[in-house]
Amino acid sequence: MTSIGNSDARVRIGLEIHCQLTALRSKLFCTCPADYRGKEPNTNVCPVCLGMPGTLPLLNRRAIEYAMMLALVLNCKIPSRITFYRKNYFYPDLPKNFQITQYNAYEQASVGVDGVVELDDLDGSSKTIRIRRLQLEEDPGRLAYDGSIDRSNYALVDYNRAGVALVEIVSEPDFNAPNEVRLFLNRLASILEHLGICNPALEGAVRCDANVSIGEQARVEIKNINSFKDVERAVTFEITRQRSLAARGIEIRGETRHWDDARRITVQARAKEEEEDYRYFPEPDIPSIVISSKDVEAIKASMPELPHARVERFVNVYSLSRDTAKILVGEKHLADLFEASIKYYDNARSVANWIVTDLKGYLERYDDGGGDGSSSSSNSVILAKVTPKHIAELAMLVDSGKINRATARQILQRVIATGMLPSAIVQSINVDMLSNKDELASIVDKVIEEERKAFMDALSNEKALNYLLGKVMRYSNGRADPKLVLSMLKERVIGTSKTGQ
Amino acid sequence: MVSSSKIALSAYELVEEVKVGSISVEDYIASMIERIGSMDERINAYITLNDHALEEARMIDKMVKGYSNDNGSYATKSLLGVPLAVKDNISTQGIRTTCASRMLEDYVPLYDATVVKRLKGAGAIVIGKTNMDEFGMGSTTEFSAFGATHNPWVYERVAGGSSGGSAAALAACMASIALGSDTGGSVRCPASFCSIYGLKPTYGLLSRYGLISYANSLECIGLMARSVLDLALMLKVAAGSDMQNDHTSIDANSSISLDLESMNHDLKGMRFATIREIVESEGTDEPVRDSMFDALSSVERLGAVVEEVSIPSLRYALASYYTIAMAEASSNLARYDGVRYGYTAQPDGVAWNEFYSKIRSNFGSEVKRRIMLGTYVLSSGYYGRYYMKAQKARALIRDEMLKVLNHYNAIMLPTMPILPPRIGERISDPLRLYMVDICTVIANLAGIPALSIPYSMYNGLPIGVQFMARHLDEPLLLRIAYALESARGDKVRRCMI
Amino acid sequence: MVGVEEVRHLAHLARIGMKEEELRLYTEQINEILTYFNMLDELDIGNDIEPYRMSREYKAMRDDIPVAFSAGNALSNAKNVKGRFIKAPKMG
Repeated sequence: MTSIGNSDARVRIGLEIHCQLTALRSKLFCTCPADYRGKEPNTNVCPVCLGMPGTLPLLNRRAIEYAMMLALVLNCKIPSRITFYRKNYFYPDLPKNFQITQYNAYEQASVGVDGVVELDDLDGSSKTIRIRRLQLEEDPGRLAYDGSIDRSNYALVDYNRAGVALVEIVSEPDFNAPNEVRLFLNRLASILEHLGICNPALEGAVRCDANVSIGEQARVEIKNINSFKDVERAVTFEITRQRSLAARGIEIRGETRHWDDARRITVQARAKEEEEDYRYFPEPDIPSIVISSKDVEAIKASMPELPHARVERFVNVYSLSRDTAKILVGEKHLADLFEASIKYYDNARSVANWIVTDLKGYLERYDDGGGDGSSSSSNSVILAKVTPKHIAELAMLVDSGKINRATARQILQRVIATGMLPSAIVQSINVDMLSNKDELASIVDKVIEEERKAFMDALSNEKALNYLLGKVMRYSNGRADPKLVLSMLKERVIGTSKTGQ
Repeated sequence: MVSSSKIALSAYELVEEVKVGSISVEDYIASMIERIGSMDERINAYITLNDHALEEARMIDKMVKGYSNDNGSYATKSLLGVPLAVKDNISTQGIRTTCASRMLEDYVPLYDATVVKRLKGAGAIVIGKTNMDEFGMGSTTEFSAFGATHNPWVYERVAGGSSGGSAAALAACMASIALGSDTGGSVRCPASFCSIYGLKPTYGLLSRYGLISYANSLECIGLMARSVLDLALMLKVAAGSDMQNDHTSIDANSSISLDLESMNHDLKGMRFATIREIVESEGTDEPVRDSMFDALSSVERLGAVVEEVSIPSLRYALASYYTIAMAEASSNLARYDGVRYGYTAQPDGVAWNEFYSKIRSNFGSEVKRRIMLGTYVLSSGYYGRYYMKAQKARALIRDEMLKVLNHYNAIMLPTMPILPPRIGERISDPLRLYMVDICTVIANLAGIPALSIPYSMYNGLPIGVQFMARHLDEPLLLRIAYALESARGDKVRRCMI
Repeated sequence: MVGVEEVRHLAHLARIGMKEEELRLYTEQINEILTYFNMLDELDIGNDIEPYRMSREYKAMRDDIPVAFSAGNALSNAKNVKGRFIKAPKMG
C-alpha cells in the first residue's frame, strides 16, 4: 500500500458515526411519528417515549431491517441473535435515565460486527477501514436554554426527538489522514442515500465523534461534530493542534474536546467529564432477537442497487467514463437525475456531462458551505426545481446548436428561478440564435450607422471591432452568435477599406 | 343497601345476580364503599378509591334495565359489576397510581394497563388502588409510604406482601376480586397470609403493559380471588398476547382451556413432587410443615401420588433472584427524578446532581437499599461476578425445575415457610426478611405458573399451600385448587363474613 | 467488603442523597447481603450454561406504522414547565 497524500501512519483516527434512520415512519420503540422536525416542543411524544411508569419498549421491525442493510453494505457479520442493552446514566434529555442501545462486551449483540470498507478511490491507491460494530439505539431529547446557556438558571427539555432510531457505526482507528475520513464519509453518505434509509441533508440526521492520536500520545475524543463536512475540518485542526503541542514538548492529555463549528476549532469540554460507569445489562423488556440466515438472505434480496454496482452499470450500459460515473453515483440525487433525464433524451454521455460539469459546477458555486458531504440544504432547494425534463432539454438544445453552452447556463438560472422548461424560456426571451443573416445584417448596419467614428477606427484598430460587437450583442438581446457577428463586421470593414470610403 | 352475606358473594355468583337484575350494582358498590369506610381505617388496604365507581355502577344498572342502547352486550360480560381492587403499581387511567411511594404520590397515569383494560371491558369496576410495599419491594406491606396494611384475620400481624392491600381487601370483603403483582411471591405470600387464592401466571401470559416495573424479567401481574371459579373467570378475560404493547407477552389463548364445569373433582393419575431442600429446611416453621403434610394427605386421598425430589441448585435461588431483581430495579427506578412527573422541587439555580440526589432521597429505605445493591452488582468489574452468575444460576434452576416437571404434574410446596409475622417484627433485618421468599421465588426464576391455595389456620393464622406447574399449565393448578376446595368445603374460611 | 467511601460512590451513581449515618447503616447492610450473594462464587458453571434470556423472531416485532398519541396531555404530570418545554436543572 502506498502512502496517500498527507497520510501519516503515526496519526490514528477513529470515527463514531450516528445516523438517524430518517426513512422510518415511527420511532424506534414507540409509534410516535419519527419526523419530529419543526414541531412544537413536547408534542411528538407519548407515554412510552416519555418514559412514563409501566410503559414498555416496542421494537420497530423496519429499523432492524434498515440497520441490517447498512451492516451488509459495510461487510459486517450479522450475529444470529442480537440483543439490546441498557446504558445507565442520568441526564435530563434521557426520559428513562438509561438509553436502550447495544453492547458487545459480553457477547456479539449488535446488528453488525467486524465489517470492512475498502477505500479504493484514493488517487490510485487503496486502504481498508475496519468497522468494529454497527448498532441500533434511541436518540435522546434535546435541551434548550432561556437566552444563553451561561445566563440561564435551568434547562428546557423537548422530548420530541427522544426515541428516534439511530444507527451507530464505530470504526477502528484505521484512518491516517483527514482526506481519508472525508472519502469514507462521502462514501457512507452515498450508501445511506442509495439504501434510502437516512437523508444526510436533514439537520442533525448525521452526527460524528472522532478520536485522534499521534504516535504513542494520548487519545483525544472530539464530540459534537454535526455534519460530515465538518469532520475533516475538525480532525485537521486537531492534528495540527496536537503536532504543535508536541513540537513545543507539551504532553497531550487524554481528554474530550468539542467541535465549535462557528470558530472552526476544537475546544476543551467545559467540565471534566467524570469517569462514567454505565452499568450495561441486557434490556429485559426486549427479548433477544433471532435472525436466521434466511432472514439475512431475504434482506439482501430486498436491497436496492448500491453505489458500486451502479457505477459499473453506468460504465457498461451507458458508456460513461468511470470518473463521470463515480461523480454521478457519489451523489445519489445526481445519478437519479441522470437516469431520469436520459428517458427524455437518450444521449447519455451528453446528459451526464451536462450534469457533472454545468449543473454540479453551478451547485458548488451556490453551496452555502454547511450541511454534509453530499448536498447542502440550499442545493436541495435548487435540485427540487430542476427536473429531468429540464436537463434533457438543455442538453438537447446545446447539442442541436440552438443555444450555446454559455446561454444554456443562463437558462439554467432561469429554470431555477421560474421552474419553466428551457424550450419555453428560449421562446419567451427569443434566445434562439439569430442565425438569420438578413435580420442580423440590419442590426449590424444600424450599429455602423450610429457608431460611425468607432467603425472608422476599426479600419485601423481591431480593438474597436470588439466595441461594435458588444453593441450588436446588446441590440440583439444577446441572441446573436458572436462569431457570426464578428465575421460580418470584418466583411464590412474589409469592404469599406477596399472601396476606400 | 346490600346485606353482608351478599357482600361476600363470589364474583361469578354476583355476576349472575346482576344479570338477572336481583342486585343493583349501584347498591352493591355503595355498600362496599361504605364497608371500606368503616373498616379500612384499621386495615389500611386502600391508598386511593375510584371517585367514579358509583357512576360506572349506574351505567351497568342502566344496561341491565335496557335503558342504554348496548343491544344487550352486557349479557356476554363475564365480570359485570364486579368490584375489582387493583394494586397501586398497576396503571389506571385517571386514577392516581403511587406504587406506595412518595416519589409518585400525585402521579396520574394517562392510560390503563392492558390487564385492567381487559377486566374493565368485561364489566369489572375498579373500586380502588391497594396498598403495597413501595414499588413491590417487600414481603409484608410494611414498606409503604402510606403505612402498613394490617392482616384482617389478626390485626397486629402483617398481611404479607408486597400485594398486601389486595389480599387484605379480599379477605375483609372490601372487594370481590383483585389484581396484584408477583415478582418473587408478592401475590402468593399475602394470599397465603390472608387465606385467599393468589395466582402467579406463566411469565408473559398476562401483559405487563402498565405494570410499573420493579424487576421486569421476573414479575407478572397476578390474580387474587376468594374462589377458584373467580380465578378462572379472571384468567380467561386477562390472558392473551399483547404484542402491540409488550414484546414479552405470549399468545397462549388457544392452549389454555379453562372449562372448570367439566373438571374432575379428584386428582386421580396426578403425580406431585415435594422438594426435600425446602420441606427439611430449618427455616420452615413447624405449623407450616404440619399443614403441608396435611395437604399432602389430602391430595393423596384425592388420588394423587406425591414423591420427594431433590433440587440442589435451589441453594442459589435467593442469591440469584435478589441479584437480578435489584439490578433491574436500580435501572427501572432511575426515571424517578422529578423532571417529567412525580415528586419534585423547583430546578431553578440547583446544580443537576444535587437536584437529582435531593429528589431521589425521598425513596423509602428498602427501595434505596435495593437500588444501591443493584447499582453495585452492575457496576464495572462486578457484572461477571454477580449479574452474569445470577443469570446462569437462574438458567440452572430453571432447567432443574423443568426436569422435575417432566416427571411430575406439579411441584407442591408451602407458600410461605413462616406464619404471618407481627407488624414490625421483621423489617429491621433485611437479609432475614429476604429468606422467607425461598418457596416462591423459584417459580419466578423458572417463569412457571404457581398458585397459593388457602389451606388451614393455626391459632387463627392462615396457612396456604402452593403448587407450581409446567409453563401454561394454569388449568392444572385450577383443577388442583378446585378439587381441594370441593373436598375441604367449609373447613377453610376465605373471608371474614 | 465494601467501605463507606464505596457506598458513597454508589449513592452518587444512583443519585440518592444520603446522610452520614445512613451511609454507615447501608454499608453494614450491603456488606451482609453481599456476603450472602457471594455464594454465587462457589457455583462452578462455566460457558456450558448460557445466562437465561428470552428470545423471539425478529419478524414478531412491531410494524413501522406511526400513530400519534392523542389520549390526553402528555405533559399533564409535569409540574415544572415553561410554555411547551419541561424545566429541568441545568447541567454542568
